[in-house]
Amino acid sequence: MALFAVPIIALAIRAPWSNTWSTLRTGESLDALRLSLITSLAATAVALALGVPLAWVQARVAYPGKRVVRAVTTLPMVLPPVVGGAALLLAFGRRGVVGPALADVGVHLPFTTGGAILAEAFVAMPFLVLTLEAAFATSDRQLEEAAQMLGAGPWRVFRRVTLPLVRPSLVAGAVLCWARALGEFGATITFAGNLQGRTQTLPLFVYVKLQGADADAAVVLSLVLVAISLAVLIALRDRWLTVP
Amino acid sequence: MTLRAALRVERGAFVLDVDVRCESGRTVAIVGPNGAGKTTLLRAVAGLEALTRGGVELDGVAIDGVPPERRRVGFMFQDGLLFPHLSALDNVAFGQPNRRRAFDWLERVGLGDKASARPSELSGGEAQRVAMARALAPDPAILLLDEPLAAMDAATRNEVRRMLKTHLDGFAGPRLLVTHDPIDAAILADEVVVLDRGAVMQSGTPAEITARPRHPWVADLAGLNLFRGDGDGGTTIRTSVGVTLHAAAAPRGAVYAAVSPRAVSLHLDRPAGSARNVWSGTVAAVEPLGAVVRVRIDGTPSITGEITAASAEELHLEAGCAVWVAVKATEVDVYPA
Repeated sequence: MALFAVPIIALAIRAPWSNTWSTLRTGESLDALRLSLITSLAATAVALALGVPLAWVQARVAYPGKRVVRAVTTLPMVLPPVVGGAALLLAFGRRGVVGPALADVGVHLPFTTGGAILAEAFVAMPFLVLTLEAAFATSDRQLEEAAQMLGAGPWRVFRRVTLPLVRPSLVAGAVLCWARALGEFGATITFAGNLQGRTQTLPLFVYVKLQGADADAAVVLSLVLVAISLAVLIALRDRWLTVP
Repeated sequence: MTLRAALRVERGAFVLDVDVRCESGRTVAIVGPNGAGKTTLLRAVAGLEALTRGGVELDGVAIDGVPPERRRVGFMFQDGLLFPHLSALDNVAFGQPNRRRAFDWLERVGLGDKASARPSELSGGEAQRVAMARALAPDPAILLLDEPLAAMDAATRNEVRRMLKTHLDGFAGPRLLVTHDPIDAAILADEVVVLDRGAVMQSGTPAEITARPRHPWVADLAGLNLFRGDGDGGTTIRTSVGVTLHAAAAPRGAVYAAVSPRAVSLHLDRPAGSARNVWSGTVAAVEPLGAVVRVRIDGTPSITGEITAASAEELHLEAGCAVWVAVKATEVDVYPA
């Protein structure tokens, strides 16, 4: 208990409460805050666009190599983020496997905001996919048949029945994914770098300020992240904190 | 319009192989023990189950190639299966985008005032009535009902059954009803098809089926004793358990012999009367059923009798007692197998 509580309390004690506001309102802090919101939300959107179909296929379609796909898509959860970032660099970097091809069509990912989004999505998507896959696997297939009997084709069944039925898991998975994306550090700094206003997200900003002389800013923004994490926990408390 | 399902479905060790017809405006009840393949048959007609062979025809036109959502099949599921995230009206409107008409259907099942209720706020009977409205609202060509009354208590059951009867009578197309309840079949169906282990055992009107069962399961439902044997063309039947039964008439060849429990008389001593069939046995069970008592007797053959509570009292019947059984020849109904 103390192991978890003491560091948080320490943050609160060290916080420059008197000038919290002015610390938050510096251009650098605001840039980091704004960028973090944009990239984490965009990463969540990417994860939703790719993760919902992936989770559905994993839960509902039998195909050879399914376990391999599951292993590969879950890997970022256990992979050290720095390694993830390095891997992204080797794939999409200027001299990466597909990087030059992307550059030819005008897409530059490394050291851009797009790269930060990609790094966050890479690390955070498994949280959404695993949560949603379990929900798709356990939701009542008979209700989908009932919808089919009422004239609904596959897409309408999915949109009007399947998706609404897994909505709680969809929300929970998306929130988890977003929280993970917001806190992303290793993959982002490796793949996207640390450019103020473009790739310097909150965690990167905290790290830089802590290294430099401006510990106050680091502490204040850390507290912002703590507050967001707490809010996520509270929002999802019915899923995890209630003992059945 | 005629629905014809002549099909075969193989699923692991289970095989369903049937040829069932249903005319427009008629209800065919599919009955049979658990695992007989009743639901599989409905699902095959609906397109939810892949056919191994055969097909489904509507007026001679094959519909088994049509995707389920375009077959115009109204399907009522066992436990209603309403969409939990939609209101009663939205459930009905799912297949009938015209909300005015959807609402009319809700009113027709007497639930106009529950339009905005969620399924979790409806009673079992109400939910099944919404399910009925939902199945009928899109104006389907065929109606399939899978145990629509199974998950209900007796009072609700009667009420929903009455409503179902009204709406079935008002539905123009063919309708198939899966049920395990002989009362449902008798009240709702024009014809009964008895299914067991994936094959049709017997079919006919409810009265025919219950008067002359050809399957032990049906005999049980109808409350009849059923024996199988060979008739000699005169008045005796050699039963499959090796004893001889006397009847008024016994056609030559394989026959069934049905005996109503009420035709069975029980005695403590060998009866001296005119009954031609007399044998001894042991009481296996005694079940009081109101004014009568149902007595199961182990013997050759075993038989179930129904006697008045007064005579049961007089005979001091209890499990293990030795009794004599007597059945008049005229009470043994023999028909070809």
